[in-house]
Amino acid sequence: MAIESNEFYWYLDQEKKGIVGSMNDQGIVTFVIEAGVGSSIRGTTYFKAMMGFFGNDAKAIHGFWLRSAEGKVSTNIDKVNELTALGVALENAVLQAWTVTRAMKLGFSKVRLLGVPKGSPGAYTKVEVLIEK
Amino acid sequence: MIRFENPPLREDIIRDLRTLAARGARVREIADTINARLDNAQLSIIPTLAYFARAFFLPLPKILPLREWIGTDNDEEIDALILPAIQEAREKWSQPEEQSVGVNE
Repeated sequence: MAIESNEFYWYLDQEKKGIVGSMNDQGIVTFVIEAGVGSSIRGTTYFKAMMGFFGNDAKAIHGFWLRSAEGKVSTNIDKVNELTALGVALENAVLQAWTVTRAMKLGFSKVRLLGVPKGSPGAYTKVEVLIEK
Repeated sequence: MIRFENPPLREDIIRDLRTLAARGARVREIADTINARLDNAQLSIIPTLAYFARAFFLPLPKILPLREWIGTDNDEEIDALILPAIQEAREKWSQPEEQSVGVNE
């Protein structure tokens, strides 16, 4: 049985850091990165490597950002909450989230919210976006 | 379909995860097995997601809740999300996998 999506996995065992991503048959990319403190490779480097591997087949990036109850760091939604707490509209705040800023540099410039975000300005717990070329 | 793996996912672990799932193992047992076999003292999200996806033919978006589950004790909640998906795909993972085009480093 063939696998059903293209997959990208790069993991540094000693650091417990890396990236796992997949691209479905519609060219929609989903990924998770663990980088930051203790990582010898920047999150941006992981992201670019994955997007380079998927290449022109990648048509969009699906961001599914959750804030866990335990308060673990979540770079994207933390940024969204930081900005919306200051009065920035959600639609504008997502444009400054980590994934969106990196995606824009690769030509993915159309950003739209998917579904209904959970939470309120400054305290969102779920935000979903699609970033398209 | 193509894949990049660095390091390559271990076929022996994938086989064992499928055996566990066939016996009705819960998500925590499967996740613990992945990380124990990789000598991870704590659950590490990147290989956990990669092995769940590969072993059980689950699309990454479907198993993203594992990311928020790690570090919690919400086992019933994660079991309710993941175990039905594993069983739905059983026909795929219980059969020998075809050779696919791979890019390994």
